[in-house]
Amino acid sequence: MFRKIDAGEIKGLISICFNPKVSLPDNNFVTRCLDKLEFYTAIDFFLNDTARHADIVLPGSLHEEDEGTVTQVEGRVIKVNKAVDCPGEARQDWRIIQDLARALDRPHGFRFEEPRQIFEELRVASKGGVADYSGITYEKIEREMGVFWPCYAEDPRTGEPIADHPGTPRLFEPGSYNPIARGSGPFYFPDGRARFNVADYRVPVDDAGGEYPIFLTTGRVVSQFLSGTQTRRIGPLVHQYPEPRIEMHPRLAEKIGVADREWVTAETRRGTITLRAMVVTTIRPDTIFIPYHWTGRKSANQLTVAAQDPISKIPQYKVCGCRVRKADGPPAYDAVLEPQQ
Amino acid sequence: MKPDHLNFYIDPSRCIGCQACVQACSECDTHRGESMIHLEYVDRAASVQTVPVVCMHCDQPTCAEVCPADAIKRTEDGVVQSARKPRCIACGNCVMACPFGVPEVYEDRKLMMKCDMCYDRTSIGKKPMCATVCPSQALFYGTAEEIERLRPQSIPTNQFQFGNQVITTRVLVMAPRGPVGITPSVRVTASLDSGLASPDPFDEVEL
Repeated sequence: MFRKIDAGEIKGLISICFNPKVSLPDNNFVTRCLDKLEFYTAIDFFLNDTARHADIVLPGSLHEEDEGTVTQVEGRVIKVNKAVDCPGEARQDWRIIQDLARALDRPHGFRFEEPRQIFEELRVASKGGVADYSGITYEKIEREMGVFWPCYAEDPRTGEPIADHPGTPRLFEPGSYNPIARGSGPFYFPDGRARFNVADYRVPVDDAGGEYPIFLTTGRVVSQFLSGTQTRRIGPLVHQYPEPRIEMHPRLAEKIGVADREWVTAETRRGTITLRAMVVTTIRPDTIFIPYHWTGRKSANQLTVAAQDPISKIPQYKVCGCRVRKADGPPAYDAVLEPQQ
Repeated sequence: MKPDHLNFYIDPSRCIGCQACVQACSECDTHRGESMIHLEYVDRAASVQTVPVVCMHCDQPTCAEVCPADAIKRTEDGVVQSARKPRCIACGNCVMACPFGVPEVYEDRKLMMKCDMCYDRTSIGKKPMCATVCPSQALFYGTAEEIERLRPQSIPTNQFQFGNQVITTRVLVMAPRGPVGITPSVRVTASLDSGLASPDPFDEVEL
């Protein structure tokens, strides 16, 4: 998407709960693209780093302020109940979208009055699919502490109504039915059989070597969630891990002459960052780790490469070439507070 | 009154360092903003192993014995309470004396505060907050039968020796069954020894 913004193919953008200035790789490029947009609207519950680039910010809602369902990674559909009202001018995201549709004079399909109606449409739309929700109701979810898809209103083989299908806590059981195999086996292939896929090793796009001999890998710390829009505002969580540090092995630390907590500069083909070292033996000597939850000059994604896995399109956050050296001292941005602080 | 059949079990080997207990504890209304549980790395430079430390609730609490103001009380159901605010003089004797390193003096309010096993909850039969959020049951609150069934390889112990002092506590710590046991945990100790002597796993990595 940002390449299309850069090429001028996308001129306007509306985003919901999106903070690519922190979460996408090579984010200095992302920031340039945000500024290139002719018009940008951000719907978000807090004024995050990306929303600060928006022409219009529409205050959205947290899940505590809305009702609906969430499907967990195990396929369990659970109910979210509203605990508090949206503060100030904030509104539920689905209401904002409907208002936009009405303002654009395209209200068809955007005339819901409550979240339950939206869920009813999901039941209808998913019927007959792999993830069939047709047998799931709000009441059933609450009664059974969650329902696993597929959960049928009608027997997918015969079309006969089923009064109270129990859902499917475990997929791919022998004899199970899905609309791709149509009874010939439990897996999502026409013959119902599973496949082992051979994955050939591909060299990373920006592999370690030459002038950038160290692997940079990025990830998370336990006290922060995603781009930190919520968790960088919560005192005890900030206190738990106040700033990103560069994890490195004692052998690498010795080679560049730094001790634990001293300042280190890491540099890739896209950017540099200066942070304190965290010297531990739990990382490979040829690899450094930086958590990505922070913004601006403390953002690890200034350094990462905007290359993707060809199938999943997941960026190569976990590997790019970098070099590290001892820094003279703290950078000027070390003392700068974030806007919400 | 804390029900007698419910016990608090700590199993440090199950701790994943997620800090959920710390956050849950700090949200409590009786000491809002402060966590009474200490979650420590054993040695972060060498390992990611963490240990959750709650008050062990000693049968003869050293903290109370050394308190010159008699500010630390043990209830008849065996729970050692946080310092009584009108009595505590923030001298820190308890901080120095506790063999488990539990009490902490808050200088800004001149008061010692520590884990009271969520007495507001446990005295009415509820679990301590930390045990309700711990995802790995490193902090477990339940019956002896439950823990026996859940952890057949481990044995709860509540006797600790510090120099010449032997301390018995209400809180129990899960330990691998001893060398006389017939369970495979005997070898856990053996592999730990050899693990310490083993070469650097990254020895082959060139730099």
